[in-house]
Amino acid sequence: MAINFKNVLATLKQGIADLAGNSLKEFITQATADGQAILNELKDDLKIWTKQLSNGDISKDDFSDLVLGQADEIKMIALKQAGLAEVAVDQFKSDVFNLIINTVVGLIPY
Amino acid sequence: MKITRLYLALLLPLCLLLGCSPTISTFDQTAYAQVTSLKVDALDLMDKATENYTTHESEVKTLQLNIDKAIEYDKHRPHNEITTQMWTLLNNPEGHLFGGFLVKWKKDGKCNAAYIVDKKKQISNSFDQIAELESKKIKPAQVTQ
Repeated sequence: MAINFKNVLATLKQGIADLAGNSLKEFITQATADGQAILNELKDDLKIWTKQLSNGDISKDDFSDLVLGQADEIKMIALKQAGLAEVAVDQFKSDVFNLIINTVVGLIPY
Repeated sequence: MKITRLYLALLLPLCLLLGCSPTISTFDQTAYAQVTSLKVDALDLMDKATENYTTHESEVKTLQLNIDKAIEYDKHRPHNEITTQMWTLLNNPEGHLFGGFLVKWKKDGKCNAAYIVDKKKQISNSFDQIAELESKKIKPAQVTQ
C-alpha cells in the first residue's frame, strides 16, 4: 500500500496551523494581562508614594528609589515575557515534531 | 515498505536533533526551590531594616552569599541567559531592587517603615518573575528528544 503524501502533507499543514494558533493565543492573552496589571499597579503605586512623601512617611530619596525600582520591576517583567516567548517557541517545536512523528509513522503500513 | 520505514526511522531522529535544540533551558526543581526560598529570606530580612544595618550585617552577608550561589547555579545551566539576566538585575547593587535596597539600608543606617512596605512589594514581585518563568519552562520529561 502506497502512502498518499499529498494527504499526509495536508494533515500536517492543518495540524501545524492549529498548534500555532493555540500557542500564540495563549501567549498573547497572558502577555496582555501582565501588561494591564503593570499599568494599573504603576498608577496606584504612584498615587500612594506621592501621598506618603507629602505626609513625611517616606523621604525624597525613598520616593526616587521606589520610582526607579518600578522601572527595574518592569524590566524584570519584560525579561520574563521574553523567556516565556522562548518557552512557547520550544513547546511549539516539540509539538510540531510530535505531530510529524505521529502522523507519518502512523500512516506507514507494516 | 521496510525501506521506507527504515528511511523514516533514520530521518526523524536526525530532524529532531537538528530542529529541537532548545531555545531556553528546561524546568529545574533546584533552581525553583532556590528562588522561592530566597524570596522568603529576603522579605524577612527587609522587615528588619527599620533597625540599624550594623545589627544585621552578618545576616545580610549570609543572604547575599546564598543569592550569589543561586546565581552561579543558574549561570551554568545551558540556554539560561534570561534567568541569569533577571538575577543580575534583582541583585545589582547600583540598581533599585534587592541589591540596591541593601546598599541604601547600609548607607542610611535604617529605613522608613512605609518605604520598606512599598519596597517589599517590588522585590517580592521581582522574585516572583524569576519563579514564574522557571515554573513555566518545559519539564525535562516533556522534551521531544
